[in-house]
Amino acid sequence: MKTVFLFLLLATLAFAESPDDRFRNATSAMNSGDYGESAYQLRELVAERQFSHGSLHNLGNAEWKVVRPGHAILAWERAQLANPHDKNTAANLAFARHTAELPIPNLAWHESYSALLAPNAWLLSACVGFWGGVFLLTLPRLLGTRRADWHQGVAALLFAAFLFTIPALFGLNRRGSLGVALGDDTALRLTPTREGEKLVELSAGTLARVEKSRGNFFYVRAEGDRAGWIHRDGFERIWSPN
Amino acid sequence: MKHFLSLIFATGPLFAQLPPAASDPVPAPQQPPILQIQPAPAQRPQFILPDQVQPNAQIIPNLRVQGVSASFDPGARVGRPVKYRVTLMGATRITDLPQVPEVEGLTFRPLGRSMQGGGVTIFMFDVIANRPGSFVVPSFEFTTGGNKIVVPLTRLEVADAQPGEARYQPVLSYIDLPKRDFYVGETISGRIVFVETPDESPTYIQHVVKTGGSVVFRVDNMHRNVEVEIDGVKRRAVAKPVQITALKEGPTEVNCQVIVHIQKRDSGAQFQQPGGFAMQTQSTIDVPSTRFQVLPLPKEGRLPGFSGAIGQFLLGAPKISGTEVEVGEPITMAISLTGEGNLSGVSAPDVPADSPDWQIFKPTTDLDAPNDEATPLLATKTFTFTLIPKRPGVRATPALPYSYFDPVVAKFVDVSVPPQPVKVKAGAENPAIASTKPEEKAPEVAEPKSAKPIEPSLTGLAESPGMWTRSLRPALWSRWFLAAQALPIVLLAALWARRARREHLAANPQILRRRHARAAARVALGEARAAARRGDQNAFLSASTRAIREAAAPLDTAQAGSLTQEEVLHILRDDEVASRTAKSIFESAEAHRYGANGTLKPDKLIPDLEHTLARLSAKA
Repeated sequence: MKTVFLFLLLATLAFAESPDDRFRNATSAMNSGDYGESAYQLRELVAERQFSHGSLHNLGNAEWKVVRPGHAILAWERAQLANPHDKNTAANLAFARHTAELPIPNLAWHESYSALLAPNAWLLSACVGFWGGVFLLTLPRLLGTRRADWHQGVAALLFAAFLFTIPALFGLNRRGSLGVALGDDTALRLTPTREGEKLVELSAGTLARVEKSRGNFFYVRAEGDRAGWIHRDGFERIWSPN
Repeated sequence: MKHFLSLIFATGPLFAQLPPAASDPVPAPQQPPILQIQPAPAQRPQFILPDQVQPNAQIIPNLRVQGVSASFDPGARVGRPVKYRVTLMGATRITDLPQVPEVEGLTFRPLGRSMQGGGVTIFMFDVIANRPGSFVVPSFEFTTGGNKIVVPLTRLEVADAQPGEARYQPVLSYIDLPKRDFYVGETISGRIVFVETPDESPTYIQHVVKTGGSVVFRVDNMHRNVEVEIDGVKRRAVAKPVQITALKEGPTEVNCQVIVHIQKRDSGAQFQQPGGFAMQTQSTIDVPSTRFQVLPLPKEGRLPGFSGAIGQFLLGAPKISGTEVEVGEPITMAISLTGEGNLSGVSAPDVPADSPDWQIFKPTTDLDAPNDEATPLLATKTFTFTLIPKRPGVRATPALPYSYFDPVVAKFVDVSVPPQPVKVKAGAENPAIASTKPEEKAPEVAEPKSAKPIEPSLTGLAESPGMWTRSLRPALWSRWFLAAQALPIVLLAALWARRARREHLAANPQILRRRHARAAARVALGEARAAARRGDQNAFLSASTRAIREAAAPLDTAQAGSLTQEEVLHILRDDEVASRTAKSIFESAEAHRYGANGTLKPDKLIPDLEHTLARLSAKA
């Protein structure tokens, strides 16, 4: 029995596809017009918690081709998170919202500002700015060397850089609550129950902000102050897959 | 008053049959009640002029026409309209408009029919003379209801136009269509326009009848006041939207006859109102023909699923009632086609009749036309199919080929409905057929093609995956990130501690001296032990003296190598054993240096040596 189990384990490991393999398979499937297969391969990557900008961008394209606009917009939002400067992803999002007649998300200025760089780039900048400044001011004394003028100048620059990252970090924190309605006519309900009174319906791909959660329900607020409880099945946060 | 009017109308027919006396003044006109409210008796119409009623006017018993007369309003001038009335007494069921014979120099425009109380039917025409002089409208017949009615001869005296008087301008009318060729079956949005002139102002379009053209002519219920530009001048107009569907290829001419309510600014009118415009009248206007070319649909490039849809459409995302169904469980799939074109006549996509996976029923259709003024043809047609899966394992609905013809780009456009992902499970009643067939790979899903050129578009694929990561959440919320923030703090604390220690040692140099002395004494003691084990007396003594000196050095200001026996013994003066041991070792070493062989037993001196060193360390 142990031998069989070991054999199966080794076989599984031997035939397990790496993320790069899956990405290549998905791309070739897409190129040959097999959008369903491409979407399947790329969805598997997300299920395995393997994220990259390229795979998420292509997943969005594949989902769009198989007419799942909510999932496509979610994938592109995630791809934009990984690489905010990719013009193709931004164009796809604009295209999808235009086609599905969805409102353009109205982000606060600090949220838009935080989208200028990848989240971890902001974090790195904040860390380098703060700790770099602190080290430059304290290390000469701690190491018993003389503090030079340039130490203070660079420290001031680094602290200034750190100050510039503070709104972005706040914006990042706020954007963490954003999610996407996946299905068309996803219901927002008065109470966090499946039988709760239906208040309004969200179109697939509508961006909404999670304000609280209870069990399998999120309390979300979309554009136009449309708010209510939505089931996890019909909604997914951008930064944290359900 | 009412009884008086009844009396007048009751006697009216008698006037129609009696020949007038030449000397008799013109009798009071027989006014229908609605006309009684008009002021200015001088301008009242003379509906029945007995002097113009022919004595032998034909009486048609079965229509009970008791008299027929024809008359012109007085005061006719060249270029100005004058009313021509054909009055039938005692008959109200006559609907056919008399066809007035052509008279050279006169233009007749029918204004319609009015029925008055007492069985009076009046057909009115506007007549415009193009020259002064005397005109005769000959007696003519017209047939209605299979009966012949003879209208008597009428004379008209037309005076020359007054100096500076402009020619009368009736309303302009035309059918306004896009300036391009059309295709057979295409529905075109146009409008019938009536433009105001200095003499006439259209107010209301009552009825439109197509009079010619191989087209389907659909008129909107509403009419709108618009502004049009004629010869560079903006003019007010009334327009009625019309949708025309071309039926035959080739040159096509379309025209219509319209009943329009018009206000006339005519100083000579008999119903002049104080504001300048005369009372509203009803005119029947033959709208001039509009010509256009109807092209056949191209034979090349025709796509599967073309069912006659012509226009510009957008296929909406199909909506399925459920994505997980059991065999035999019906689901609905709604497909909406939105755009401008002949949507009302568009049929649903053909469904595959012999699908092994699905039983598909004829769809229901629903047309939603918002009737928008700017886009009158814009509508959404929704086809709702009912599908029943036949077997488990089916992963998608069937593709439905569909296409339409875009007349703007003159091409067929594919808007086939792509397969929709569904999961078909075995029903509870027939689980045995579940998993008997391997699951099929999802069929190729076609791209939903947009019809209109849309500014943003779907971009290409990413060629490389980029850097892989295990989480999309920024590290801001990760525990390791927060823990990593402690590292610089720890590093700074360590550096600070190091700095403080250094400063402390700098302020207390004896600490280092003691530490070095202890270390040197430990090393020398080790060498002494090794020499004792070897029985090397010379080495033992050398190492022992060095150990004692090193250990004693912190207690004196001198360097370890320069300490003398007396100085060491002075330090150890309060410990007899240590003092004796130190003295013995120093003296033996001194003796040994000058060649004497001592009787010292190194191995037995080790404990005393260790005691001495401990004593010195304790003192330091």
